Amino acid sequence: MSRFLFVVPPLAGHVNPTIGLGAALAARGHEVAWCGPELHLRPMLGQDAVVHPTGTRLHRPQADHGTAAIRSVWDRFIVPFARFSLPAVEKAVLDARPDVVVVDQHSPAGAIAAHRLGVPWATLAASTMELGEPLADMPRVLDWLHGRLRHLWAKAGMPADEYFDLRFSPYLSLACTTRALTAALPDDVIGVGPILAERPGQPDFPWEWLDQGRAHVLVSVGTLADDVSARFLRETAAALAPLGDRLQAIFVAPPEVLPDLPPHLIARTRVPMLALLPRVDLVVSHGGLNTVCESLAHGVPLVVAPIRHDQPINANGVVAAGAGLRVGFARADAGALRAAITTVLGDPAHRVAAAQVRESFAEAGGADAAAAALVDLATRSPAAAGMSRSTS
Amino acid sequence: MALFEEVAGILREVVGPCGGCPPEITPNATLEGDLRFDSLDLVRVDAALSAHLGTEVGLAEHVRGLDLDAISTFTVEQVVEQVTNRVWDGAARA
Repeated sequence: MSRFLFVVPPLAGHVNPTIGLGAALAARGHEVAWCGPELHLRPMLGQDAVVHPTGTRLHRPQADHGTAAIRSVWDRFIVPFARFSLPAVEKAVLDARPDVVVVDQHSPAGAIAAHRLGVPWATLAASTMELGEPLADMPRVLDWLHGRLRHLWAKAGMPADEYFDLRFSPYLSLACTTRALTAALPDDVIGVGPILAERPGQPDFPWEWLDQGRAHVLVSVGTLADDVSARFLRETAAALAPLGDRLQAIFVAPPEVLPDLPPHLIARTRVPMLALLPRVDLVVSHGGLNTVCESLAHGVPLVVAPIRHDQPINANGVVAAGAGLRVGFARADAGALRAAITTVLGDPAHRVAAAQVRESFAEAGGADAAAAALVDLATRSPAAAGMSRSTS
Repeated sequence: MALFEEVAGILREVVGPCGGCPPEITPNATLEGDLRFDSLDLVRVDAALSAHLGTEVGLAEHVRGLDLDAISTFTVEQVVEQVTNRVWDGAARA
């Protein structure tokens, strides 16, 4: 039996994969615990999960895109949260005495704590933002990013000559994608594919509303409440309004954002995504890795309207795989969206390509493959030896 | 201002058609913030300018070589400057 500690940020897309991975490790008889803001983690993990709390800092919801979003995610979230949480993460590692710390790629406090305490650790990439160095074509931006990591390292009092890229563990790196979707995945990162799990507290859905005779479109562009998101949702509703004879669509959005929808369109603040996807023919998404992978894991093609971070990378991955189309989030109007949606629905090649990506996920092994790799690391690196530096 | 109008016309082609988001193309408008450019838009504008002017403008390469804040705040006026530097000055020297 080994012990694993997940260090995660308070973001659903980063916590969700650890739920399935934690369940796979527990099913093999191992102990799992989480370290992060309990206020955010507890509703996602359920009452029985062991959580080592870091406390919570308020972070403003992001409304940026492009390079401004790169600055804001590092300067307003990753770096301050890592600095704020580092003492609590170190305490959690000392208290939980894990054999392996599993560090979300955007929780560098976990990397610093594990390194300082001499505990083997693995990177878990829940986004594609750092895979294959997508900023390499903007060399000064990439230098800036490495500068932020070095800043964190220095502020943690770590020796400059021991610095390493905190985004990648020297022991093991796992990513929740495959090369079929993310061609730039580095050779030394294991692409296990999406780690899906039933999540506690899923909302109801009016299943009787679904008409078997029509196609079904799910529109999910995240939880942003800015005017550009509202515009996109309204344009998508306008795109689908004349297509009631052939489809029904579910918008994951507060109903008040989309008043007066025709009967074949509904808006629900939350939906039971994994239960719904087997009955869906097309997903319209902003391109977050969770939504893209959940769709493709069900062989469902996409129309992707990326906004920020890894979303453009995932959108391009979907297009390159042939599993859908990319549209401009800020610009696509009803006509362009209707054209993209009817093209993907009308051409079986997209569904065939989506099924091929699904096959790559099945081969990659998901939670079981990730659990096996982590258990292997725990077995290779006994904690007794690893913890030697913790009692200096 | 003739060159500005030419550049603005090409930007309008890329920015449109636009569902209810008419960004005004002024010299101070930023590509990323005001015109909501993504990396594909930049490449499209670069290609459209290069085709229109019959020579490589190198806009995407120029912008990607800048630092983070300079990329975020790159303006329409700076697009015009890049065109001037690459095309008009080059033609004048030739």
